Amino acid sequence: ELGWISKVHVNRPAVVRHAEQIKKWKTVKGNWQAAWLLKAVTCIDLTTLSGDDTPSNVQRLCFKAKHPIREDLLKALDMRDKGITVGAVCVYPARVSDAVNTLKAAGCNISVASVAAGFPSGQTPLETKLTEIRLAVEYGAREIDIVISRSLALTGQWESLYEEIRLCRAACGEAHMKTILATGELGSLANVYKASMIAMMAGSDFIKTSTGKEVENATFPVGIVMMRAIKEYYWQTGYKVGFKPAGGIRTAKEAITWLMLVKEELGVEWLKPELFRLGASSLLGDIEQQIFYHVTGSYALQHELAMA
Amino acid sequence: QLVTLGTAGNPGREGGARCGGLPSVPVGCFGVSRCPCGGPQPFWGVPAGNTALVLSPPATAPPLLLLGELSREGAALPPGVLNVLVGPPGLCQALRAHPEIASVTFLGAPQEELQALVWGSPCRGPRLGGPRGGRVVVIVLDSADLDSAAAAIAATTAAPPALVGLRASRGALGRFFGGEVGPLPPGTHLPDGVVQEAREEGAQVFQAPLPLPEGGRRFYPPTLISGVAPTSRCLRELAPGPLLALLPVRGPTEAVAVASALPHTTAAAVWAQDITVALDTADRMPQGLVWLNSLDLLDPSGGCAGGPADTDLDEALREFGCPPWEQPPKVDEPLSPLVTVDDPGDPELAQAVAAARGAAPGWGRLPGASRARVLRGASAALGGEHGTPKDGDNGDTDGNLQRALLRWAALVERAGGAVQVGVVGVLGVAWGWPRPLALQLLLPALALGNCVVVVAPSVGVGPAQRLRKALVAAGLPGDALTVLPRNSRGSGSLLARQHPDGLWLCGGDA
Repeated sequence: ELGWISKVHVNRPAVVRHAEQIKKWKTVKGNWQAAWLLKAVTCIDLTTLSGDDTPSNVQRLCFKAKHPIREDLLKALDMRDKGITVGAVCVYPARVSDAVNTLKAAGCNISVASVAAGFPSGQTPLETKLTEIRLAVEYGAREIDIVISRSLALTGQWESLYEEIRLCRAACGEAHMKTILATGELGSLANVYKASMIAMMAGSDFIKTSTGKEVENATFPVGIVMMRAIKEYYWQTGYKVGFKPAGGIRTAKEAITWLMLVKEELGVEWLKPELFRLGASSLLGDIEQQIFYHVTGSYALQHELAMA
Repeated sequence: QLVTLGTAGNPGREGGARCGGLPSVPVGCFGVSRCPCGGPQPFWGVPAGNTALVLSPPATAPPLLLLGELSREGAALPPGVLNVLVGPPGLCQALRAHPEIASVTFLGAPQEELQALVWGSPCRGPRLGGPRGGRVVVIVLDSADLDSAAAAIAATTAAPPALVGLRASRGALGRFFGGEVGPLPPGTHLPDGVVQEAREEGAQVFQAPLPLPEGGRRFYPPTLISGVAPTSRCLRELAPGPLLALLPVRGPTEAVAVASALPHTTAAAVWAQDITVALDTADRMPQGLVWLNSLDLLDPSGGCAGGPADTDLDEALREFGCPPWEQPPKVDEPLSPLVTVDDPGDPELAQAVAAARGAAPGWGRLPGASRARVLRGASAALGGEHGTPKDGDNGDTDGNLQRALLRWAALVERAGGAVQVGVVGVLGVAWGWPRPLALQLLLPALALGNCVVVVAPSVGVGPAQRLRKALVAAGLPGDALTVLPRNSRGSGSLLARQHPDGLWLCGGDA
């Protein structure tokens, strides 16, 4: 449906101004803050995407994913038996089997998400992208984060982009697909909007802002534009597509601001792990610190909180 | 109330001249163009140090001419600061085009054809002030970014009637609700009657089902009225409250025609990504102030659109005491842990000086009124404490200290403007006398915008720490004043090694 993206207008200064005002919103405090933080924890995709990932650190990550917050803190908040775990564990395809085995051995059914399709640059032939996706699914990943070809978006070849994402979706099979738009490299907010629409039309379950490896990752203006695209798609078709900001979210305060933004733009139905994820690695540590502070009144030393 | 503060204050007083939280820098000469609409017209720019040229139509000239004459006579303003020119409205083109006029404000409702001055993104030319009272007409053309327009309208403090291009109307409805609900100003009636009349005429009325805070009658839900015409009461009258009326139009020309025909509009906004169409429409609008792809952008040196939360009115009023809903800061609460090293050596001093250097730009750039507020808050905090003084000084010290704080607060406020005099930066104080540290000496340095690192013998440190706590509780950045107890000699030379911007050596042992 090319007609939907042909007349897209995004006024960048107005969006940036709106984003500036978001930072001035009053934030929640006290018990409500702890509740929002726990909600944020359940929406985190705990990620490790480094060149030096080996089975040992992936295993450690999986255990942290199962017990993201220390037991006694959860008990103090009366949330011990609610099954607070993170949303998913995100790793490279070569490490998927390690993660799956660890989680199965630990008796935990958190899904393992894998990045694929030439992460992070996307500059690989389509054949290899599809093969990578299929292999990742075979190894046991239940969620696949694919990367779009920015060159297609930048040169305006929207039909080819649609076709590519559609083929990736077919290759994913039963797995749930997140499309990474790499918004820092798309050039303009109008392109971000168009790419979001194309990705949704081609069958993505989630759209994700960035790989985390670009210079500019998840910022509020980009998030606002993508959420408006999601809203528009929902009005047109009735399908709810999820949203995942990733990269650069390091503090608990930012996480809460993202949650508040999602609630304002998309509504409360989007505030659950099926429709909202936060791609982060060190964020969990900061959230745990804030919860520790809320429960005990002081900040924890480094050895008091389990390392991810 | 705002007017009396503006004209009764001293020239250079910042309390009356700030809007939107931005400091007011003298820009030179600015022009004010008026239309006959009466009402007090505060000239904010003059107290900030600008000169003003007021252009007024003959009908409303006499009070302004009187003001001009009085200002010359009573020695309040030097000659040439406030000039009143009576002439036809066409002269404001000349005002706008004059190269030496830095900023133009438009006050009043449009009565005749005036060429609009455009401000938006991007803009060249003189900066503009904001509208006072009245409504804002928003025109949304079909190449506009609808979501941003809706977000801006929802965020704006005044609810405007909006004109919407045909295509856009279907999507617009859902987007207008959001943001916080504030109470109606006192003394106004709820716009129920207006809304009811609109319903009876067949308009569709959408009201956001927001949970309203307690307090009943003073809140009204944001209301969107669609399908009305300029003959409806909601557009003819200036109804208070968050009412947004939508009018569909067929094109830019019709938009201009309908916008010109609406009463009580002081400003307009045009949303369109197609820049030629946008500029052309803006040019043809009769309102004096037209925003392009934005709303409510205000210029601090021009007329102020109110919004008491953003002005420094409350700062200025604090001279007369704390508002009843605010507690004066308490000193007893523990602050960041004190430096527990008994004899701070180089690394601790280096750290203290580096921290002070970090805090220095922020503290130094604050206008005098804010710094005065911190000093007054500290004075109030010290006054509230009735505990036994530590380290053997008598309670009288606190009384002197409080008076000194208030005195310096008043001095700084009077002197404070955008130009800061005497800001050195980081000041190091090495106290070598065996007597307790004289805190009054630190006050002028802090008041004028410097950050101070004090090294004193531990005998006198107690009251200094109490003063520091009081100041920090009142709003001083924590690193702006650091007191390090040190009992050995040579603190002066140690401090000098850290290269502060200024160094006081007091006493023989330093």
